[in-house]
Amino acid sequence: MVQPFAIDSITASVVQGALENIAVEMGYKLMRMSYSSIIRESEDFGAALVDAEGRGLSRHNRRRCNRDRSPATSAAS
Amino acid sequence: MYLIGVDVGGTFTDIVFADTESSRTLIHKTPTTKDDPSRGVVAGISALCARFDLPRQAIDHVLHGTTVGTNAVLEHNGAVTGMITTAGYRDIVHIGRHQRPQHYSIRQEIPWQDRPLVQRRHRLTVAERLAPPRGEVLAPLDEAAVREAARTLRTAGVEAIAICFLFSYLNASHEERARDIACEEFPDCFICTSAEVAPQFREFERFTTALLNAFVGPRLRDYVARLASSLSHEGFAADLHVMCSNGGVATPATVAKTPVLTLLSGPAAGVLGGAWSGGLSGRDRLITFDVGGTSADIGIVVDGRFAEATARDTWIGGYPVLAPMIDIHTIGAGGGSIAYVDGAGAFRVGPRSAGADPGPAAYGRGGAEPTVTDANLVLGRLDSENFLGGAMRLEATAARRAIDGLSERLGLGLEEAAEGILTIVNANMANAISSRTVQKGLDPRGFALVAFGGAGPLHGAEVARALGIPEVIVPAYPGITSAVGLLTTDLKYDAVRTEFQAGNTVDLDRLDTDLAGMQRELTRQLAADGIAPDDAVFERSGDLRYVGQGYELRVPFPDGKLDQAALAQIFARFVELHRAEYGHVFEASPIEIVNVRVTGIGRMPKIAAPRPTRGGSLVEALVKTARCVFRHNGALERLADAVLPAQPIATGGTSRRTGNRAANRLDDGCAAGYDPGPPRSAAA
Repeated sequence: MVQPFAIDSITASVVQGALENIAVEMGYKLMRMSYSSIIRESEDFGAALVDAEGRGLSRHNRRRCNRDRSPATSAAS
Repeated sequence: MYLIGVDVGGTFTDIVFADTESSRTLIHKTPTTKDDPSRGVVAGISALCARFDLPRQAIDHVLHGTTVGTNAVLEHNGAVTGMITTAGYRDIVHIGRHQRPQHYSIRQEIPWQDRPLVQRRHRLTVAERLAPPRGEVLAPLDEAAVREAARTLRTAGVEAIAICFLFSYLNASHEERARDIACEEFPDCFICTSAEVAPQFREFERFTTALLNAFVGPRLRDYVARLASSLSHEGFAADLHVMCSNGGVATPATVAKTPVLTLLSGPAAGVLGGAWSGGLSGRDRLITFDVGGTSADIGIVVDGRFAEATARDTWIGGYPVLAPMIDIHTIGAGGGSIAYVDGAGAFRVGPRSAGADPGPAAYGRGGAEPTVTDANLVLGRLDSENFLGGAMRLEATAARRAIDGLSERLGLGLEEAAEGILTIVNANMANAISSRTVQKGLDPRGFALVAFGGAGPLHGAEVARALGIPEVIVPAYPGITSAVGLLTTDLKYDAVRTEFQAGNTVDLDRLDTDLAGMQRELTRQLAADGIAPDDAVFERSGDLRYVGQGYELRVPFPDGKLDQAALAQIFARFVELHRAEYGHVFEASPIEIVNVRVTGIGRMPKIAAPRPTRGGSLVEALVKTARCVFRHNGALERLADAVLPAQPIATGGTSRRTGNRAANRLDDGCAAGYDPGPPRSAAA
């Protein structure tokens, strides 16, 4: 039986950020390399990391607002 | 020549003075006056002149970066805006492209629907119709309906109107006539047309850009007018210029007419300042890393030139903007970013920020939540006596109290929690840079990181290490790099025409006529701004794609009259760029010229390389040594030899050495290089 192991909250947060970023970068790669206006213009695709049973770890969100100066992040700048 | 650059930030207004002949550089900081930033600007310039005994009349140029327009969009408190558009197309700006910011969320906000720039009741339609490809009139403009619409909007209390007709980028006559009629009916209203703001195809984007222009128009027009008049009232005779998103500056008159050009004014100046600083160190592949209190702005510089965002990728506050902009990526991570435990028990930092007011707990202004700045102070990486060159004292007790609360919830020690905040925020910043460079097909390991802004130098070394970036450059005045960036720029105007000309049927005469027409317009504008013909430079380019593609690449055009040979050269250059950008080409596919562009540049005097303020050696730069906490081989260690160099501390930013790593002095004497060691894996 696999022993569950404890992970500290800092490492958990860093790993989660890295996993999410991997999916984001997968999405960007796909967009650059797909040659498809359905991908590039309609953004009709997804990119995700899943485990062997298909349980989702992280996914590429549509990029528009990720890269935007959204009010939550810049109202005071 | 005497130049002054003024950048208005959330907390401080930064002012830098440069004498182009003697290389003398002076800086001054003054609190930002939130209600009317122009008061702080004028007061600060006056104070700088008084402090260093500079005669006011001797200042030749004042260059200004402003967030007045940006904040009006982000806080959604611009003018009450009206719109007059083609019958049948009232809801284009609502429908957009049938895309949502998130694919699957049922609780998302759709900015152009949930925060409309113009209420539906203020979107009025009139009969008119133009047709592509030449803009022939299918149905004439119903002038009586325009008059009626303008009256209705005036009665409704509208303060600004955008006139947006279909295909106006091919023929602007209907929009112009409608504007003239609306001006007659409603003379004190801010009125603009979509063709004068963004004469390009793509209705949703063009209309939204015109609406943004109207939305921020009255406020920015009044702001610039107030600033210009109070400068002259205070005895300054300097020419005023305002920074634009495209990396150039424009006159107050241009900005008052097309304020939408300034929406990235502040961050654009930062990228320029970062590029200039990297250039002083002989580096021309740079990632600029501008970290303030609320956000981190990331820009990419290749071969000394900043990247311009493609037209479909420029967004402000969730709205698309068709205006030339430096490609800048912003994330919610800065000195004021708040650390918290979320509903599921995870440890998070940002994007919510304590901002400037109340600011981090250490500011002692009532902030109680733990922030990145508090963590830096608790670990000794910030010095409470030397913040902003000693101009502001940090309260270590308050910072410790704020982080104590968090560390209890997490079951961590005080320093573990503080170091955790920094580890998480650094990982967030590194992820943002990583995805940004991957998206562009660039490898960050071939770049130098220019770390500036109040908090950039504190995080630069660790972010660079996570990414395998070999070198970190900290500018001489990291806290005011944006203001310095203002003094490195030129007057810059962009003109664009949509062409849609494909393959071997290109009408060269039409291209020539359009390019020459744009160049004439820009020549007139530069001459009106007082630029001598010798100082005016024009760059021509086009947006090209393979027929059927949905995205374009910017291709430089040769000077002079276009002939078949020139066209072949342009197409060959496109193929080359396509190969570099996408890794493949389509030999047999025809190429389409979508837009042609002319950029008019009026050369301005610039800041010279600064002289080192303390002799240029690291020994002389030393302010103090202090005990700081760093993670070393997995454990937290208190390092006694951490060095806090003088210049960054003295000028608003803060830098440090990590443990035993070597700091190299570069040629200009104002930058430090860090050996980042091997990249650290995310989980280490």
